[in-house]
Amino acid sequence: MSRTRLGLSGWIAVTVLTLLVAMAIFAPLITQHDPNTGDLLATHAGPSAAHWLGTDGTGRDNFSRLVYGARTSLLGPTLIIALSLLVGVPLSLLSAWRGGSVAFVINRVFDVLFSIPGLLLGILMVATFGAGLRSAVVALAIAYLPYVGRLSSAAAERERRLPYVQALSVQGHGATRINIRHMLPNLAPLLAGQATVAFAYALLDLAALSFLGLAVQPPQADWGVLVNDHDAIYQGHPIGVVSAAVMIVATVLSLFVLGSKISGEER
Amino acid sequence: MSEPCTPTDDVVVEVEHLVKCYGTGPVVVDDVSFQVRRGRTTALVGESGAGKSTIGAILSGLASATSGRAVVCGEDRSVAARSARDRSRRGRQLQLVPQDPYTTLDPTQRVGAALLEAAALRGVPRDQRPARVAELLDLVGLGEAHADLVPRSLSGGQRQRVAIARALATRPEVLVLDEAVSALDVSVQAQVLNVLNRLQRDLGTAYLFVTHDLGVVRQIAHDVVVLRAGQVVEAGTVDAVLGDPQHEYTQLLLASTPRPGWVPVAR
Amino acid sequence: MSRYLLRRLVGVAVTLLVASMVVYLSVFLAPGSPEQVLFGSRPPSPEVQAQVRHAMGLDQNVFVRYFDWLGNVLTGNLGTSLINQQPVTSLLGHPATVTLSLVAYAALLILVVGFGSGLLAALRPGWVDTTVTAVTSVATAVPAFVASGLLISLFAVRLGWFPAYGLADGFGGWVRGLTLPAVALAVISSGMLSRVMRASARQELASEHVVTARMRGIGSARMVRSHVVRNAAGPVVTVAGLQVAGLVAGAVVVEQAFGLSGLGQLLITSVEQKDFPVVQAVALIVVAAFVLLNLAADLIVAALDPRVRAAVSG
Repeated sequence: MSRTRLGLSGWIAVTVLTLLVAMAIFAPLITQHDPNTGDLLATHAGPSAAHWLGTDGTGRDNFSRLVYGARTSLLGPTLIIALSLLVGVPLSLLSAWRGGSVAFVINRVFDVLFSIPGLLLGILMVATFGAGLRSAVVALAIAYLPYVGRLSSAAAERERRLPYVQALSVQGHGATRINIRHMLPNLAPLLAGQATVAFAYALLDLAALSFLGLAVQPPQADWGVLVNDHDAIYQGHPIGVVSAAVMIVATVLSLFVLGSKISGEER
Repeated sequence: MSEPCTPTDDVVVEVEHLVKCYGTGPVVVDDVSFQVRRGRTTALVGESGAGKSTIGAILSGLASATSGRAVVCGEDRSVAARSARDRSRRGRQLQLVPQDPYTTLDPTQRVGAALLEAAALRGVPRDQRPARVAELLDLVGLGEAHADLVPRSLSGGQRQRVAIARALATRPEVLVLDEAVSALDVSVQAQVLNVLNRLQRDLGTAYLFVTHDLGVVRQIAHDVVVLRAGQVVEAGTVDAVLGDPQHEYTQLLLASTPRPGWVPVAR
Repeated sequence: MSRYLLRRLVGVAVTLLVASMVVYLSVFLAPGSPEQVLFGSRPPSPEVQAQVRHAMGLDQNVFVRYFDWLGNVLTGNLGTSLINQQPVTSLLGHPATVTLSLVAYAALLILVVGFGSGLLAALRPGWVDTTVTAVTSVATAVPAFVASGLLISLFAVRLGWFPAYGLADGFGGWVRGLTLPAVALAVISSGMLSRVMRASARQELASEHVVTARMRGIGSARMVRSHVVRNAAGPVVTVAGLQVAGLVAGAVVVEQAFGLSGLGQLLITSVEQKDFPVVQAVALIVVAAFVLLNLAADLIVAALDPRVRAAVSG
């Protein structure tokens, strides 16, 4: 990826995302308040020097909850996308390489998974294995498999027909080597762009599950949990909710912009 | 592991009564027979659709023949290679240089890495591979500085030389050059043909040169096989066939080729 | 066309069948068995437990149970709730009406706003286009649960224009109660549809036949109607179908945020209570609605666009 091609919006997106990741990593250095212990004498306080974004209904510092919330909010989607790439990419390479009945079976599996909305699969998994981040991450990883898989198997099929792949095959290289050492690096920009956009959707779906109380559990700070602070909304102190909303929208928007820049570069 | 050809074996490629048809479609190759001898070049000429590229594909293991034999170094190749091991063994006997210099190399792989990988196929020990890469680059008239470049930074002629070097890395007895210079400018064509002629003199490699261009045939081939609609219409030495064409189709081909302008190149 | 229709229908049937298996079996995998929900914290003697298991058919092989369930589903029997012992079908009526109204309202908003703003942006380059594009870009990043919180804070709590929670009686009560939820649900999809509409319409406007039509003096309004909209419809309908189909699942979040007793809320309550027959029934309905709405969109695309029609019938 070269510098010039990102453009202004691309650079803004990269900057926002870098700041967010830094915020998640260095959370304890950025805020001195504990995100989970509140000062019951100062509930629903407005913004002040001590509490930049005020406090919530139990006197917890909104700003620290936002900063620490970046950790779960970014880690969850990272795991989801990593898992679905780890399973989806080998499956789509296999489908593209073998074609025929192998491709047929893999594509039907993708079709069926595609027919079950991610949110619903998450709810079903939670019904089965209990609420929590782990069930939600596994469920969404499965739900994102067809998104990753369909696009990348279409791309892998195109790549497989290119003369350089045939040339390598004629030369005597094995299928595994051609797939891993040649096809994969060439598909990487496309996969990266796709994974970036899928990351944004995974973040939204995971936050929605947390919002429903099914993924990240309440005392823990998470943007999806913070947005769901009904107490603050109904009492007319929405600052914590609004700032979590801004974080989610800014992150997702940056990921969309970056994703389209990355895949737009694809040769 | 059979060593390719015995030194006394003069005929390296023997095609006998080769037939290829796709499904119930027309016959693409119809009872074709010819030979390629050690250290010599046989040109396969004809218009597009004459079946010449199909013969190249069968010889290089990309397709199976419907009937007949395609023997390379004593091994019948009328059935396409199934395993990587088969392909690897066949790759030590015959290599393919495909037509388009812009798509025959992995776009993400540096020249040096591509040649290293090819040398490894021949079982060159790891510590001797860099020297082998330098030798291969030298053989095709490229410098060691080219090893660090990706195909994008090379010209068409340079890319085709890399493709030739890569093919030579397995020290094959035969190179199938499928329209290997057709996409190049005339002056670059002459350079690549010079390289090929010198290599044949030094290494004794046999060439099967698939082309539609009779001007090129004069510059490189010893023998020529004229194909039309899958059938051999005339075969013999270049001097005999092009000097005194017997068949009217050959005469027609000759008439449509501009005679002046070609420069005989030292063989 | 009929062959295409047949192939798609068979595909959808197979997908639904496998999806129903996934729905049934995912709940089967749950630790603890369904009858324990019945017994609560004081399990009866093992003999009674065995009798209950037998009566519920739980002592049979899971595949036998799946096919029994599937057979019942196909004849309109969705089982009995473990919690209140009522037939599941009788529990679905009101929630289904609420969800259907919510989804229909949101779909209407998405189509009107998405289609209209996209076309507007394409036809008015300059500041109108820039503004619409900026707003819709942000909209594509505003999910329903974020929009819900913001809308409630502003329009329900601060301004008091709409109720923050539940539905009042009568048509007016429903419309008022469903407005904020429908808007919350529609934001992200309207943004996406608008962007697709703008891109398609711009492409059509630049195409040769539109330029020719302009030169022939065909009036702007008529041209927009006859050429641009019809030819841009393909990708737009596909995206609209996908988005509207997704609303059925997205409704879960909005119903929870606004306290609407729709299918989504029923699903969440049933999950919490481990009322598996209800979970299975609602999940199956959501999947079926998702698949069928997608099918409908594909068929509309095929019917609208002669090129697709020709391609698929060949």
